[in-house]
Amino acid sequence: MSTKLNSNPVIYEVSKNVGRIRKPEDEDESVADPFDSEEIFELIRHINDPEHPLTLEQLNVSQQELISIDNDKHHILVRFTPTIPHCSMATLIGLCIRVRLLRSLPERYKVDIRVSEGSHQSEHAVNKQLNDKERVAAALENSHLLEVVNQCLATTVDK
Amino acid sequence: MAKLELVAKLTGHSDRVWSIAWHPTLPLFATCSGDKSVRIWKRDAGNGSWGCVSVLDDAHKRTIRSCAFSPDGRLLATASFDASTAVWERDGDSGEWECLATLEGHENEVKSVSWSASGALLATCSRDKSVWIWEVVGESDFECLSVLQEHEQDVKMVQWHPSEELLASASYDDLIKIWREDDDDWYCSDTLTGHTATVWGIDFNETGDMLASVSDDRTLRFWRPDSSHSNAASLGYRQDPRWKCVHTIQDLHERTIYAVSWSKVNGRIATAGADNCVKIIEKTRIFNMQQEAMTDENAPKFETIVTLSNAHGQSDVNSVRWCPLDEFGDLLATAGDDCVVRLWRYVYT
Repeated sequence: MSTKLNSNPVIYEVSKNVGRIRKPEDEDESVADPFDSEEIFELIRHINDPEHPLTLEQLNVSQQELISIDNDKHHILVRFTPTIPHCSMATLIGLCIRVRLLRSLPERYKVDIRVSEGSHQSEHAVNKQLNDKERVAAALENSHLLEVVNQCLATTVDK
Repeated sequence: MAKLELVAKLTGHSDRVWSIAWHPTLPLFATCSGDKSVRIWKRDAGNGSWGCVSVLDDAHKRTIRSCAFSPDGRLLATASFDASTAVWERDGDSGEWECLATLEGHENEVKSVSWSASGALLATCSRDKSVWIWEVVGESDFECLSVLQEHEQDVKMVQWHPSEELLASASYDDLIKIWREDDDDWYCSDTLTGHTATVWGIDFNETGDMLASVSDDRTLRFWRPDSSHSNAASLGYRQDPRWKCVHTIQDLHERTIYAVSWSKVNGRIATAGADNCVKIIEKTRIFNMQQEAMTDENAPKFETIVTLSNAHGQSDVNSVRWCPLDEFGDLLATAGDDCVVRLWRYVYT
């Protein structure tokens, strides 16, 4: 892309803590091991921005504090913050997050994805589109779009 | 106690099942899926078991979102994300379905298809925000009569009135529109406002004097034409009745409600959605004096009589449809993201 929407984004320092500190109960197979926000964050922090060779975490688009989970109801809410309020990439970033979680989480989880409150001028429209599963399904049948999503997700694949 | 008893669990689709259409005269129904195929399921007259009798998989290149039988049961229309609608004919001898025609014109995904009661008209709607009315002009010839472009967003569903040439459409713009014809000129006669999010499903009752709608706002709404307040005549406008919301059930489901089916046999209403639940709603039998006095005395009341959790395991339920045959009026077909189609019987014990 020749002209970027946000040509000079602020880059944030990422957490030094690579991976999760294992607790004793993580090893215990008899204990239920529900998802927590740290694990969800781990799945999406390395997603590449569609415009920059930087991750969503480096651009502060994705933050662990913006993820909430209700394990009893199998519900996950992921909020993200576009770098600029008129970011036209917001739906694409949200779609990448959705696809990443769709491919990684057990089917029982219902995922809602939203831009964080007040972070985008078309907040309602972006949220509505990201949570319309029919439109998400149609978008993912578009081979060009799917390729772009896969490129953004390539950096998340466990090595 | 009323409940739903599982009659059959039908597997075969390899992707989420989007919708269901019952045949008007035979114990048979069609389902369509993200796997680009339609499956026809039929009751075996011998042992009463249900099984797949046909797979229609050579007409669409993308997801098949909706399917509908013509009122005489001879034709099946299928709407696809590939922007086309196909019309299939059933060979009376072999029972096989053959693609008769492909209707093209929508700019992108076709979301729904519906036949008028006479079988002479077909309606389709699309993400391109338009509703198209097609006329059946010959054996395999369909002509576009009208392109209706008043919705401001993606149109999710079209449904014809059970007897009149009146069409309802539901949209991502949170509205329902009613369409009528006047001397070959189709026009929007009413816009139903009330839902606060995408309207996913609509269905008329048996006589067509009420319409039920379900939405992403998790409500079920009931609408009825109200001609009493019309002052249109004096102004020279068309005297179409205004549809008024006469009852709303708030928070019926915990997540988006995708489908509603109003039985033409027994008047029961079924809903389903992203909370994995199927619900059955009936007109209230108990007369509540206080409640009655508070509201419009003609407004009907409804109550939920069955809540079936995890009807398709932990998956969304995308479609529910009551069987239209008198003999099998207690049968309800449901389809889910788990690729499975289930058939239930409503029983009262």
